Amino acid sequence: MAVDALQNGYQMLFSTLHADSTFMGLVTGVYRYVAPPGTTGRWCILQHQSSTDTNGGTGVRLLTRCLFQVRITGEAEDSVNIIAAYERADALLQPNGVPLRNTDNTLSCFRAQGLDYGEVRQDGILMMHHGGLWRIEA
Amino acid sequence: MAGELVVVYNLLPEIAAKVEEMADKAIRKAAFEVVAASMAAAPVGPTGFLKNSHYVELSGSDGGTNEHSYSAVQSPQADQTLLPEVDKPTEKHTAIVAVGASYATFVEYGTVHMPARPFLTPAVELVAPQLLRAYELIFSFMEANAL
Repeated sequence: MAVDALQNGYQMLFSTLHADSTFMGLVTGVYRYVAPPGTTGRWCILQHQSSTDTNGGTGVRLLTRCLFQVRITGEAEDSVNIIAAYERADALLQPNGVPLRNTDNTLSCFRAQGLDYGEVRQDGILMMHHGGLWRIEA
Repeated sequence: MAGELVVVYNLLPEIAAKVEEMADKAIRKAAFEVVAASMAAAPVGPTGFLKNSHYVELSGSDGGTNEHSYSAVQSPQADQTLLPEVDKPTEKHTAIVAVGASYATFVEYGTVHMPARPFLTPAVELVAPQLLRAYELIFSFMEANAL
């Protein structure tokens, strides 16, 4: 068991998403930071965005509240499948809108805000980034 | 006469105005602290455009005290684009912290080829608890004055 809350957060996201065959059928892979060069189709990016600790009066770390980016990226013309992939991830990480609790050494997981933006790649193709920022408490 | 309530001093308008003033100060302080923290964390390139394109929009009149106004944003160079100014908030006690550099989103959240280098989100996360604490104090003040 990792005591690093950030690592626990990554581990929880990776294992929850990887364990679902439906989600893994919708993306070519789940990657940390950035997809490997040459990755095609649509893929999932996990990235730590921010975290703050809550310490006790004696300086003992009680809780870490992390924000992770969970984002599906692909060509914008594939937006239907990109959205479907993210909806599946959303259903896995916050089933029926209820925070995912006590999974892989984390206390809770729920979405804090949505995320959606476009990017014109160097070859002129419009890429779509669709996902959200997820609060993970560990 | 028994049960008669005689109001000698009515301080409620003064106290209500004080609460308004405190709430306004708290939100302004939080906004400028977010800007400071975000500017400190923003990656700095040769021109410093990302860092120096932060600005704050405040509700109401800023009385000329806003050092981080849109007009103070660094001018873009030839290959840079400054996004249009965001609308001024219309609701009371509201502030918007914005970044004018057109590529800020890509730095904050990443691109196809580049990992995110968050600067604004950590700043908000840092300051938010302080703002909540300030509002708790204001609510305590209101309770103490039976508002």
